[in-house]
Amino acid sequence: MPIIVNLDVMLAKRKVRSNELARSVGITEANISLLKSGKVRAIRFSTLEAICRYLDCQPGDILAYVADAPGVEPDADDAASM
Amino acid sequence: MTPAQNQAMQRIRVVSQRFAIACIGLMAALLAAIGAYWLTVTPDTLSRQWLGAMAPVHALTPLLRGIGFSLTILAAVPVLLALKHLRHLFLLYAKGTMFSESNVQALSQLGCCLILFAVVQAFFEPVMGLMLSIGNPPGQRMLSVSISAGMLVAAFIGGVLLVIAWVMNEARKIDEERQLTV
Repeated sequence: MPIIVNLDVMLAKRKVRSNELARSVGITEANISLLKSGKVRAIRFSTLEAICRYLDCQPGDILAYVADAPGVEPDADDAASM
Repeated sequence: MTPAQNQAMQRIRVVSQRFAIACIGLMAALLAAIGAYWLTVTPDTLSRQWLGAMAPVHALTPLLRGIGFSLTILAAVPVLLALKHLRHLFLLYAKGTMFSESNVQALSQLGCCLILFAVVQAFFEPVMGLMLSIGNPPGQRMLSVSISAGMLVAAFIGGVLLVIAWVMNEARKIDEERQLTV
């Protein structure tokens, strides 16, 4: 997917474990794993806000757009999910 | 899931398990009924049912019974397959899998089996009539082609199930999207 999730990098920088983040944000550890591995289809603004608040960072620190990254071409549905 | 949703899911699982068992029972009953029919049927009954009492069935030899049994089993294959796919669908529901690709596949295969049943029936009746009357003297052989309401209903329901499977596939994609949204 052209959207790269750099959550693992931010977790390492802030020295926060995945299960701590999951508990504070209110989502399951399984979902954090899916998010870190980039397998999610969409992220709610409320979840993104909770992650940024806990890790004291910007959405751009967690998400990056790389045009040449392999994966599905973004379509209207994906844009609407964000 | 809320407690009410959990309770509903549990009820669905129990009922689905029972229906899956019922499908096995129906498959066995169908095979047994076909066997019992061809073991006990009389020439008069065959003549009435397949030849419209317009031509007699002269000699009901064991070979003829065997051929009749085999043809009926062949004609019953779409029904048996339909019950197999239906059982698979109920087993998926019993496991709590409601919107997977396997569910969609089982539903569309069920629809295809019903349409196939209608097509097979259209050929089965003329072949059976011909087989039963082929040993008769000229003037007493019969070939009848008919399209019954049962065939049309089976084909229509098969088509409906294909459309429902198509819609369910879209529902599956939406559910997948929902599951992969954090």
